[in-house]
Amino acid sequence: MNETVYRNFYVGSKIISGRYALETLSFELLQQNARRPLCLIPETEKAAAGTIRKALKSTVTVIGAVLICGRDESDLPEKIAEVYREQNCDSLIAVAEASLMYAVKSARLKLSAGKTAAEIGRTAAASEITELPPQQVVPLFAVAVPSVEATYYPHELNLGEKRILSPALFANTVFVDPRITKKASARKEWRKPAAAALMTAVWALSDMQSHPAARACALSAIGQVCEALTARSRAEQTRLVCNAQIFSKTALINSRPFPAVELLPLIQVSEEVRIGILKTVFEKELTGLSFGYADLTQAVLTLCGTGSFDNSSPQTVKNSFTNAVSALLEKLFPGKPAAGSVIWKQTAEALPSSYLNDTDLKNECLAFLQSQIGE
Amino acid sequence: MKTLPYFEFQSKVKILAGDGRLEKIGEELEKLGSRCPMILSSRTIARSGIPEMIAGGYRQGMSTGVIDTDIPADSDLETVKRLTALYKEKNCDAILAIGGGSVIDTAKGVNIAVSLDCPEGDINPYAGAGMVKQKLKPLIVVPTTSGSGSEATIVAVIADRKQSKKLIFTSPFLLPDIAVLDPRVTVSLPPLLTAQTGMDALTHACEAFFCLAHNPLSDSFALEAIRKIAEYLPRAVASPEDTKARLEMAIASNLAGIAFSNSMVGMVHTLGHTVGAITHVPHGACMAILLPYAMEYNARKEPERIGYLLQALENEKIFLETPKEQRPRAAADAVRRLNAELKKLTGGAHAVCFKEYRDRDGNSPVTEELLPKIAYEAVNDGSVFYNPEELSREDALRVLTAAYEGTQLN
Repeated sequence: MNETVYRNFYVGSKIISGRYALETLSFELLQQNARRPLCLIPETEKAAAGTIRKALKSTVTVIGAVLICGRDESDLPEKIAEVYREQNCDSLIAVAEASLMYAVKSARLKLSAGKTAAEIGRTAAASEITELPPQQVVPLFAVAVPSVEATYYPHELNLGEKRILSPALFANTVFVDPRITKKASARKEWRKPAAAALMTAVWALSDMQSHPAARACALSAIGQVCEALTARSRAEQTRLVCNAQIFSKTALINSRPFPAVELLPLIQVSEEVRIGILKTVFEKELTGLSFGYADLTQAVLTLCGTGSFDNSSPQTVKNSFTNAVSALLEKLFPGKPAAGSVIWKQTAEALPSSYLNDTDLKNECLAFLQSQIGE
Repeated sequence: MKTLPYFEFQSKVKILAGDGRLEKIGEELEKLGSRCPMILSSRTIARSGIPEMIAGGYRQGMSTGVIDTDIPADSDLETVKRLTALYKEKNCDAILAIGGGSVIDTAKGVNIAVSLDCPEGDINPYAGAGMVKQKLKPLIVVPTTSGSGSEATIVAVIADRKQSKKLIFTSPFLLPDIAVLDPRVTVSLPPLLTAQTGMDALTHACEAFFCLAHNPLSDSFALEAIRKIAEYLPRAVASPEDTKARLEMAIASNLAGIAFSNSMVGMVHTLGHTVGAITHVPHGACMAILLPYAMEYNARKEPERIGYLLQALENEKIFLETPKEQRPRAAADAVRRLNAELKKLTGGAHAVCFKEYRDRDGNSPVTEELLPKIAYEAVNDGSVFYNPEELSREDALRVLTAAYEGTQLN
């Protein structure tokens, strides 16, 4: 028998996106038997507390406490757990940035398992986390903003050298509400997260064995970025990009793309390099794929105003798609994309030497990068 | 194509898909903390050796608590009560449902009873929307037909025969933990059933795409499902042993299930539910016949979305070469061609219109005289709310008449 196996697929969080998404907060909390959330707000997003209060007005939900969280508070998980207990809270609402998300996950482990995240090692994670009390004991609600960074994985707790990966760490619900995202957009360039989402989606697509559902998520992400280009308001643009980030990340965590991708999200490289990687991936990794890009190609080309394309064969459609995405990137970042071996060299230089105990994987990644550089 | 400014999406079921996945169930049970699962299934499945394949993957100290195959075609409260007692008697700690919609719904019912400790297994107090508010015992499902998508839904329908009513339970906690899609459980499905269930899945995907609650993720799931069904359904009907086609159909059905459970269905189900209730024509057969008519009927309101289905049903070349205004009709015709091909592959058994549908005894359960009654009752079905175009009784009759005769809808 010729065996066909796809990778497993899992989306741990419910996604609610759109204007007044936050008005469903109370309903979602009740679904988890929760009525008294602890609200965690980054100090840069203080105004979000008012928006959440307004959304919960006239509902049975009572905010147990609001905690303003600083970026560099090393004892934040302990602090969250303390306030949670003191105020008799039964759930968490987090206006999420990557750093706060990690702190919230760590606090949740502390509350549920009585152990700090640091006490749970990567290898022991699976068994320890399945022994956690039922998830509704400490529901985690994340209100996403477009600053969801490349290092943010919804089921991951990053402790520097250690990483805990578990489906139990997914937030129950992710709310994408333009009233929150528009505040972030005032100080954040929406095009950068858009490009990051595109790149993530492309990485996921480069896995030939990923489940078709993962591919569907990646294609949705690209579609949302295309739609963002013509969205009427900045708030809507950032909401669409935020959707794209969630979709593309969902695709990526259910895929195993070419080896270097294991490391790339952890590497601090310039935006030009990231865009360059995206282009290179398109050119080198996607040429062998066997599904139609006509719809997306058409959408991208229309948005870029470059008209129709050659659809005489699947290969020309794929080529057109590659060109269309290059055009899209050019539109997002005029004149910026780097190219060729330079990007891989910079990537290799950016590899954190402390990361990964898995020598084989690291060597595999380095070999891949060297092959791209041509050394 | 623009997406709507608001959507909700959830699909918290882990999906395992591929040959040999049945043997991975043991590993998954272990991760879920189970050592003694109860298996609910049909006699045919039990005889097919599938439980043994699953047991072959059990970890040390793990064993099947009990296998029960006495599950009626429509799950009911009495069966749930009986199985709840059995679950407790055998000290089970998880449920493994191998079957179609009825087996899966029964498993969800039993899971409510054993997890929430319902006295005498009575789950009546939990009927309704959102009444189940906590995580239940582990539930793994292995769908044996590629059509219903039950493994992806938050719903369970259980009959209360004493009260002559159907109880509907909806809660995100009713979603199974894991869905296992292994082609070996569907290869024994006969060609006609394969065709009908496959067209059911196609209808889920198409309606998810063009009905009112579509969203960007359900769109992509639906399009992937449609592409797969267009390619692999004829293959699975023509060659039931083709495991590649069976696997792709199982995946397509699952994708379509996820899509429609997040964006609802429309008038194909509105009319199909009533045709099925009054005439007992199988659900999949109703879907197959009615789908192209619903596409034509809704083309005025949703020309772009219905036209876009042509790309998935055929290919991008045909889509791009077809003038925009002709795409909706061309998409409906593509479904008709698929139906015609399935009819040929099943030796004429797969009906393309109600007039030619025959039951097992060779009778025609759908008659022209019944159509006004069907139209009258159909418009009360809840699914009509998500249909893009309003559906009056007169319109429903017009659609049913065309579907009866097998003529295009003007």
